Amino acid sequence: MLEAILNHTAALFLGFLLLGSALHKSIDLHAFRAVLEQYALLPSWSVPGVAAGLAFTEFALGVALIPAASRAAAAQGAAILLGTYLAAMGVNLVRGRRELDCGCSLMRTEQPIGAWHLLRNVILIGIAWAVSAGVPVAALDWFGWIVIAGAAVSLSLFYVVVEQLLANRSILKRLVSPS
Amino acid sequence: MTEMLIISNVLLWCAVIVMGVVIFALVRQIGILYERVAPAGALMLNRTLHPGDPAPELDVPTLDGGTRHIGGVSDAGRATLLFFLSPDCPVCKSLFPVLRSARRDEKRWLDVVLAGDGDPDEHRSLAQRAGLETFEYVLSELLGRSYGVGKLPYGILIDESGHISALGIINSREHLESLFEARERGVASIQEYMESRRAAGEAD
Repeated sequence: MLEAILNHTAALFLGFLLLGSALHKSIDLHAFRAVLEQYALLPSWSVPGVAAGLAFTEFALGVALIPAASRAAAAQGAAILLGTYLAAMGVNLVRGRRELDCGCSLMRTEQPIGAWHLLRNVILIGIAWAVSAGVPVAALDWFGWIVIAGAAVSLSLFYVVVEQLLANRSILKRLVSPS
Repeated sequence: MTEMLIISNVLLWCAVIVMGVVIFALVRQIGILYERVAPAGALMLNRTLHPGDPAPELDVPTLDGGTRHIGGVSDAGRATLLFFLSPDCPVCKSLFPVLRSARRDEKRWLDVVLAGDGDPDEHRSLAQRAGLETFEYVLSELLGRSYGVGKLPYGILIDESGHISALGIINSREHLESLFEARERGVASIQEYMESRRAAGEAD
């Protein structure tokens, strides 16, 4: 029973995250293309296509995470996608480009890439891999679904709070060390 | 009893979610406050140049293959705003609308010149994406070093006589306008103006 609740909660949370991210990219695809160009990992001609492709992929994975039938495969896809983002940020951190905007904020705040973003993605990849293990069989009644919905929404709120704290951190750093 | 526990649990989930929303709103407000408590004037941190110094004269290449003379007396009697930026500077991007409106509103007396260094293709791509093609855009590492630019985005206002009028880190519209304000008041920065007012008040 507990495994089923955790699995459904994690899947819903990841689904919300990916759908929110896809929406954020789609609303301002122009800005996301600019972020991708700044990462300097792709040839310029491919950036528009990759930007649209990533937004669509996130949307598709977010939707596919909800039903149990497609959940395991979608979770594996999400882990690979998050791992790709992790590698892209890691490469640019190694290049010393710490002022680069991560382009990953759901709240459209500026967030220079840093170690916290790598840690965040590692945690999300771990959650995705756990979900990809498969949906435990358990009979859930209406109360179980209320618990799952409450937990998923709370996790999502926690995520955006942490995201805002990371954005505040970079603003504060600029404020106290302007040189 | 079971019914009470279920009701209690549902109400607790509602409370957790409401508190999550409130915490998010508070954290967002903190971020906005951090933005607001930044100095009203541009932060003037430059170890190379100071207001009143003659602006270094340089001929620097422009993005479209030409040359632009920076510094010196303006034959047209116009001031120049040098705005230093970089394609991977997030704050710079947020200031492009401000630059456009400043150029439009101050066109009677001011030329706005964008300045950067590094890969010309990256800057051309930035200019195209951000709608800055009509701006004068120069690329010169020497320009940045000569003007003591260490942090971006950075603004330097050169008056008609070729002297530094005001300079500083620009993070907002208010910072940019403070350069113009400092020039109008004949002070180095808004900070200096506030300090002189405070000193005058204490003398009284």
